[in-house]
Amino acid sequence: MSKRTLVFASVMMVVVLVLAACGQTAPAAPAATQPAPAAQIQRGGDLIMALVTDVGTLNPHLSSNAATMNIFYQGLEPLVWIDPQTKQAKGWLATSWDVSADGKEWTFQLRQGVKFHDGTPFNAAAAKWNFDHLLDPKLQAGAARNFVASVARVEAPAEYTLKLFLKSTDAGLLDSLHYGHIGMICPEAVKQFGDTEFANHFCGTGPYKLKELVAGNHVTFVRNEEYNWAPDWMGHQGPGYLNSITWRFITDDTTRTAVLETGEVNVAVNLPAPDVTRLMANKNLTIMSPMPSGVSQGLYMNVTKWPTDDLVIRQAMAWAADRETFSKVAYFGIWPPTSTTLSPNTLCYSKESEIYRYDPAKAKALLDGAGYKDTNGDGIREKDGKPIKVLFIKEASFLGAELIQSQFRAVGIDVEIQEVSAAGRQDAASKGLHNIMPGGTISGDPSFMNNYFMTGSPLNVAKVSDKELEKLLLDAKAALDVKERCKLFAAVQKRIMENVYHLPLVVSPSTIGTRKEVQGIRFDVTGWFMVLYDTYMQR
Amino acid sequence: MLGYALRRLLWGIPVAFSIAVFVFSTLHLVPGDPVLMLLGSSSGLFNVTPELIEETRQQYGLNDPLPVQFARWAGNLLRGDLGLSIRIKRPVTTLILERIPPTIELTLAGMAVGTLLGFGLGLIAALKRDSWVDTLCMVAALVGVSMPSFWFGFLLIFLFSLTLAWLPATGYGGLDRLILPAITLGFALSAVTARLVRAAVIEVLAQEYVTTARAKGLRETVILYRHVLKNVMIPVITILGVQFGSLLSGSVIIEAVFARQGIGQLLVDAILAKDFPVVQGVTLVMAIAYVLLNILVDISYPLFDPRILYK
Repeated sequence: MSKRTLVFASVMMVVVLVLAACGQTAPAAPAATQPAPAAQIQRGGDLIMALVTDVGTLNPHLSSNAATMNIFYQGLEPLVWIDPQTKQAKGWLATSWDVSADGKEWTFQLRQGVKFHDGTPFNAAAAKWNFDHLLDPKLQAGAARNFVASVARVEAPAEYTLKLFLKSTDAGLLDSLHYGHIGMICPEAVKQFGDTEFANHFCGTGPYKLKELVAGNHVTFVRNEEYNWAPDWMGHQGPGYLNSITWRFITDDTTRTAVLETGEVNVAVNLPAPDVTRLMANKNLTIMSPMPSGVSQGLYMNVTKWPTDDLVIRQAMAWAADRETFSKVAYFGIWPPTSTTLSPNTLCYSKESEIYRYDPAKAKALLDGAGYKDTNGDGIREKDGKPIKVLFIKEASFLGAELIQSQFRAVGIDVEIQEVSAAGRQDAASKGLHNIMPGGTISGDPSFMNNYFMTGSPLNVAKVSDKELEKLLLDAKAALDVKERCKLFAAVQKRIMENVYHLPLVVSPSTIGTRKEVQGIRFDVTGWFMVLYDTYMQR
Repeated sequence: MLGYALRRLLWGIPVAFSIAVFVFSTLHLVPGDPVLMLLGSSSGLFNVTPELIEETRQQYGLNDPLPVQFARWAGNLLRGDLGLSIRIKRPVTTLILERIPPTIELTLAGMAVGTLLGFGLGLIAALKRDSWVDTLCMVAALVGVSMPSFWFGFLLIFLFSLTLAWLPATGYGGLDRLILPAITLGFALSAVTARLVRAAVIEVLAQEYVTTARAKGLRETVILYRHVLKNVMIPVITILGVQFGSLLSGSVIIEAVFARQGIGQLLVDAILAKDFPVVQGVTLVMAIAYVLLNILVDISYPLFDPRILYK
């Protein structure tokens, strides 16, 4: 099955599951991410989008808020774009690029005739300034700096030629460069107003530009009439269709859903799963859940703490987990079940790593074989008088922990659930207090897995220290040939599953609702972030 | 009077300072690392290298011993600088100034609704004591106290925004966006006020000077305005003063339901993200507001009861 059919199949699977769950008349198929023929498109209209939390700063170099990408992509343009279907890089502010044989020297040819919102030209010097500024140790940079962590230095040998010199080969570089936070900002605006104040003088090259930022309340962008440098993979040329785009911050799930229903906003993100089936039946709304790429939502196993340090117990849990039921009950089928660590829509996803399916008999047999028996009749197995009891530490936002608990108990593994705050979870993760902890990642390129499975990484919740896995991960990061990379990543996925460092449960797409008149929203490769250049309002 | 106010103000300084020390130390005792919270955001999108974490800790001075961090913060505070938010990367002072207007607006509107409604209900209940009107008013007050404000808020949104489409459900700016949250806040507040007013009015009505006034042949309305209400004001103002203070920080839930990003929301977000500078700054400002309010309440007493004099 090609990736394209797979994406389609996953989307359809969601629709089918939802239909099965609610028994309603068929809602419209998921909205096309490609715009309709130009004849139907009208210019004008004001789009209002409800985001969840205050975006904080509008300076992408300081921002650590992923959701802000929904704003950055409208005002800023990165050097490249990753095609969500083929996963191939396409030019955005860069038109072409070359990489040296050792993969450490990248040369980008930049698009000409591009102007920043303040009228200054975009060229290699401006691009170099962007990288230098983001990498400047004096800058209190946000998480965006991670994206360019492999860059050692930058040169601008010609007006439209940019050279990146890397510390080590990074096959995921183009993916890292496609995020909205690496969109090019005006050097002059930062020099004039400073990094903090840049938020109020936000300036890039995108089709929409800042009109006003009312902190904590809303951000409004208006059309950039001078925009005429759209890359060819976009749906049209010239300025954007919308008069303005406003983002509002509505933390409360119920309220965010209500204002979409009233029409107070045209688009709302992160719709709560329990409401989605009801909203799909609403004729005025379109609900989208593009399949994401990244690590599936699942459970990280702490391999350094008893009893999850025992491979047999981890394997037993992998056989005992009923993902179908979990998906249906906890996430109303909106989040489809999966048995692979990389979710199916990810580059280098390997179907062969799908080792486990729901088979409680197999789980019991494994535990029996390893000498774990229920001797005192309480339903929980023990060995040498020690019962198997795992500590499950999670945040309130993870649904369905009790279901997992009952599924594990059914094969004789006891589960204690401990609910903590985000800060508490991070603390527990770094101290290794947990046995199992939910986790998953939204990301484009699979090399982000390095941070989750390398010894000593702060995000290594499974506390894995596996030399062979590390070698595979590092080799994959250095392999520029995509076939070679995917072979290595297939081995990575197999090794993770064989050792059950991560127990995948469901794929976690974003759920976005729009009013029917909103057409032509484009999603990035992660399926979570929107590009609204081709978006228009149908009247 | 002025001397009294000044003395009270001076006392406010050690109070605010103690609160600052207390907040600072509890914040650092609770588990969690602001840098990890910031960089390893829960969506998991951003990967984070150990080097970046270490670098960021250094930049924020989070590796220094606690007393050093406190001294630095207190030193900046004396210069009027509350520091930079770790999460939002903007000056705390600016954030507070931006977030205070929605909160004050809501608090004042809620207080107005609550006081009018509470006074009305309480007064009617007291005058029609032990009748069905009294019972009705007190049941309304009971419902107001018992019903969670987020639930009442949703009911209002459901009725006035979703079904009737009369008023917008969310946002800040304009009277139309203020009505629903103000009613939500005011309803809960009115319940407390109504019960208090009822009790106070009943007590005053039983006083001998009311009997005397009636014996003089004064009209009931005159008795009510000149003798009863004036004497009821003292306990009511005390309660309203306290309520105002707690509403300033405590309307978080209503702010969340109606998506009004006020100071309460700012504080909750900051606590969850372990954004130390913001938590410290907001708490300090809140504490000072509280102290000032109490002083205001105290010096307003003579307006209603000339017997109270401050020296």
